[in-house]
Parts: sequence; structure tokens; C-alpha cells
Amino acid sequence: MNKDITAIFLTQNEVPEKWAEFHKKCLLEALDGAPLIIMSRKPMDWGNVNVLQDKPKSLSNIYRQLLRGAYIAQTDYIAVVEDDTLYPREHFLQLPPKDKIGYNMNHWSLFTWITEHHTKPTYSWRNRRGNYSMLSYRKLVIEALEERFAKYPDGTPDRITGEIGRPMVEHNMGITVRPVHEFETTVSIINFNHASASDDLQRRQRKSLGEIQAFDIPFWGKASELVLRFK
Amino acid sequence: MKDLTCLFLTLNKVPWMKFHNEKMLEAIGDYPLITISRLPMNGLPGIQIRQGAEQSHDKIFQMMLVGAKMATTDYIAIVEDDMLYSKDHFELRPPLDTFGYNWNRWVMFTWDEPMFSFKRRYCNGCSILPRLELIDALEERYKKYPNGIPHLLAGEVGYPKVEKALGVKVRKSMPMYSKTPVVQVQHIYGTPGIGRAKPDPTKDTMDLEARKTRRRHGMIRAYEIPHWGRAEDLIKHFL
Repeated sequence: MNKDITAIFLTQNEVPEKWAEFHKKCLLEALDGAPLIIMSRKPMDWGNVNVLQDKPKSLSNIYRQLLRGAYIAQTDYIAVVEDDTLYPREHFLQLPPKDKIGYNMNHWSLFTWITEHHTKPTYSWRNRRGNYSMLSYRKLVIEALEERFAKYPDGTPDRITGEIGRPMVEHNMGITVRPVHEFETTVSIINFNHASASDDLQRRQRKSLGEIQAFDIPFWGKASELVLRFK
Repeated sequence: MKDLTCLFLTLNKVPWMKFHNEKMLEAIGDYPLITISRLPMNGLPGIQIRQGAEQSHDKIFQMMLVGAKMATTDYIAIVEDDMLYSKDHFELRPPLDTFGYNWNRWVMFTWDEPMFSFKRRYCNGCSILPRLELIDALEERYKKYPNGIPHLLAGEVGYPKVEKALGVKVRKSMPMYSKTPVVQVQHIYGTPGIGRAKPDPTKDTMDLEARKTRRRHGMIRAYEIPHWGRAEDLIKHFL
């Protein structure tokens, strides 16, 4: 267990019930006793701290709740946990440099829908940083988000809101572009893409698969079997 | 008229030549082919040129320059004997002043657990190269190193780290992605490297045999991928 990290679990409680149970089991195994703060829409009776979200659902709200969670945490590091994402234990053992925003780049997306272009459950990877894989020095996250919300006290506009440390996002917001440290665990993070996600492309099932694709991977197994968990 | 020539480099050492060539011909279709091999290659269309048995990274680039000068198309695609290609790999085109590298490349090892792994890295065998820019880049290198490019400095054109170390112009390059992946096999028949300029004897073996199987998998790993199937089945063609 890494005693220097707190997981901040962001959930709107909109994911399917059975999935939520499976996700909880996987998360607790991966955290191995590390502190957990849950920022949820509905009360939840597990984790070390449960705080209800105080703003309506939006992209900006994701970062607002992350900031609130970061204030509550007491460890040097925090890791974002999303309710549609499965994490390996190894992820929470990482400690990126304190002056850089850390992202685990070993992340697969798994779509819960099938289309004429995507006829078989498939893991796919894109060379992109996702908030779900962010793990960073807590004070740096607070600094970056405080700057963001000082400039946009009513919330950042959806069309320019995005991850800390993504140059285009921070450039468009007119705030400091934060340096990033990318790392990779040997076991992947799995991010499910589904109709209740915040991302409009996912909600409309118009998102395209990442360029690198696989059907069966170490630890998590076959995409066709794992995808059945999301129900 | 086709705008790309496939330049196939081989020392005829790999054990899966028949399988490789079948797959290669399927993938390259009607594109012109220039083969630079150590042994005659029966059944391959196009131009054939012989090379000696000497094996070095420098020689790879020398042969690329020979092939690039012989071709007449706008682009060159490097074809290696330990890589399996897809048709759409050869449809990729970077701008004419930019070296393109297909990043949709999975690697299998002939040792270790059968598995595909992926790294975000340029690979010579995945390159789609504007021919005139390639000639210009390689002539610049050989003008500076007339006796051959030192082993530790040899590397892909358009790779900033390599070109800075060589002290030559840093050329434009870009990653590209084919829809269907290409697959590369890491094996014991390749050109062994001697590793870092200043090896650490506690970590870096100087035993060239040991170095052949010293590579590490990329962290993004898979047992089964689209088009090529399961690693445990595909690798059997090489063993």
C-alpha cells in the first residue's frame, strides 16, 4: 500500500448498479487500504470520506469536485478515480515528480456499444491524457485548479474544459500550461466509454476507437468478456 | 502511376522468409518493389540487388540510400524481413518534406511469453519516407561520416535525438497510424547493438549473444489483436 496517496473518486451515481458493485470490489483491491475520498451525487456508505457534489453535472464540475477532494486529502499525492474506470494496484504505487502533473499512459478504452464500424468489443488506445489516469502531487493540482477557478469563478466553459497539463486546454483557458510527467504501469487502466458519460461523443455513441487496438490483454482478459461487466 | 516504392532489405537469415514474403506481396499489391538481399529471392517481382553478409546499422542506411536513388517514386516505404505489413500501411503518406512513421506497430519477442507489446517509438521498418528528402538526409550523413555512421549514432531519419547526436539537420517527422497494425518480431538474427555509449557494467552486458534477447516489452500489451490474431499462433511462423 502506498500511504502517501489518496484516491479521489468522482461519481454521479449514474452507472449501472451491478457495475458499481464490481467497480467497488476492483477499486478496493487496487487501493489496498490507501485512503479514499468519494465525491458523489448520492450518499455512499464506504470509503474514508464521502462528500456530496455541490454543483450541477458538467465538465467544469469534475474539476471543481476534484479540487474540493484535494483540499480534504492529507497525503502528498492524489489520484483521480472515475466510476467507469478500472485500475490496477500498481497505478496507485506511482509517485511522479512533484513539479509535474502525472498521467498513466497505459490506458485502454472499452466501448460499451457496437456500431457498423466497430462490430466486436475492442480495447483501443489513443495517445491522449485522460483525467481518469491523473495521479499527481496534491499541492500542484490545487495550484492548477485554483488558478483555473480564480479566472472562471462561475465554472469553466464546457467547450474549453479539459485535463490539467493538456497544453491546448490550458492555452485556451489562458492559464499556466503545467508540465506533465507521463508514466506507464505494466497492467493497464481500463476506461469504459458509455452512454451516461460526461463526454458528448460517448453519450451519442459517435466516438471512434483509438488507433491501437486489441481483443485480449494481460490481467483484464478478453474485451468481449470484460465489457459484460458494465451492466 | 504509383507514387511509392517498397524497399525490402534482408540478409536472408530469418526463418520465416516464405511466410513473410507471401504476406508482404499481399500487402504491397501493385506498388513497385526493390529487394536488396544477400541471396537471390526467387518469386519476388521487381528489381533485385545483392548485398554482402556484413551486418551493421550503418549498412542499413547505406542500402536505403542505394535503393532510394534507384527508385523514381515520390515515396519510399522500408520493408524489413522481420515485419508483417498491412495493405493500408502502404497507403499512409506524410507531406513531402516530412518523414512518416507508422506507430500502429506491435512487437513480438521470440523469447519470453508470446505477447504483443507497443511503444510510442519510431521504427525504420515502419517508415514512409519522401524519397528526395531521404536522399538529402542520408547524403548529408555520409558527407559528414564518409567512413560510415558510428554504431552508437546510427538511427532513424527525422528522429531528433539521433540527428542532434549526429550533428546533422534535424528533419521533420511525424507519427502516423494505419488502420490495420503492422507486427514486428524481435529475434536473435538482428544486428546486435552494443548499447549505451557509456555502459554500466553492473546493468549492461557486453555479451553480444545475451544482448540479442535483452530487450524489454513495451508496457501496453496484448495477447490478441485485430487482423493478426493471437501472438501465440502468429509467432509460430517465425520459430
